[in-house]
Amino acid sequence: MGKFVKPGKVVLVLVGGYSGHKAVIMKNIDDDTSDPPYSHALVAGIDHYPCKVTASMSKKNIAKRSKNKSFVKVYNYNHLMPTRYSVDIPLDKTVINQDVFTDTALKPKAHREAKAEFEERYKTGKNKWLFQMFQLLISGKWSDTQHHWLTIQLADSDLLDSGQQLSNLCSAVKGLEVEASSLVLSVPP
Amino acid sequence: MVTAKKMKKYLELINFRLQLVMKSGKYVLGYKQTLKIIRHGKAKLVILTNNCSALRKSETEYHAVLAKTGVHHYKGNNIELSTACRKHYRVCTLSITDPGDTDIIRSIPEQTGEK
Repeated sequence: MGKFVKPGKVVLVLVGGYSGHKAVIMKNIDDDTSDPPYSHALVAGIDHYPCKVTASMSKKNIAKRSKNKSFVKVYNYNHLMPTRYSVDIPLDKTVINQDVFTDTALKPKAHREAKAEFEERYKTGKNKWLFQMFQLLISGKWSDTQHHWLTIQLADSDLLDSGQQLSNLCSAVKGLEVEASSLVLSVPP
Repeated sequence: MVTAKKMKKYLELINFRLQLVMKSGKYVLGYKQTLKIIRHGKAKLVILTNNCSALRKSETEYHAVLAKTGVHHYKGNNIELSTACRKHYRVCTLSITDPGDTDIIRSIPEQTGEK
């Protein structure tokens, strides 16, 4: 009843080299007529997340660890998982658009623009979820990216009622037998 | 614990409405198509069966929450839902885009709310 795949929406990439990475929709094409002939979205995402930074680090170290690397890509809607988050990062549409994929000179410019805007937003401390690597801690083990879209539900505590639901979800994934009490959620702040 | 009588009453109501939707309204059967329709904002009601896998159920519900679309958990399995839809294949996820002559979108949430 409401369209939620809109520019500014944060999505998770499910497929390909950037699986498990978070991205922001720049432009979405809903109809199946233009090239490619399926509903797709142009996203700008984070390739390399900024590292953890503590107060005891030197300024030089902090600057180095706060760097990120971005990517710009076109994805089929089926290969994206929309989240409830959206950001209003002012990514320049004239620089980041579909021409990037045909003209090789435009690509580095688009990447640089995305990287710069993401870094600026990261430094303000807003939209922390976007800059955190997607992860789930299950009984002390990090889950691999195969289970990443299981982990969305777990990391998004809005949807969870109880630990029972959690363990139902986990046993639905092959090879994951977890008791509800031993789960530790990494819930976004 | 749902009694047999309540169950029968519930099934009568919803099955009748589903059959009407199949005849007069527009709908989409199947998980892939339902997600597509939800993403485009065209779904008015999403129906999931009780034997829909938990992961699929959660994913569909999450999309429906984002789209502000109602989700109804049908009290039956995919074979029963397909019988209600008069189809010869199993359906565990279906989405109604246009209710046609029925009031399914208004009445089903009311009934489940009463329970």
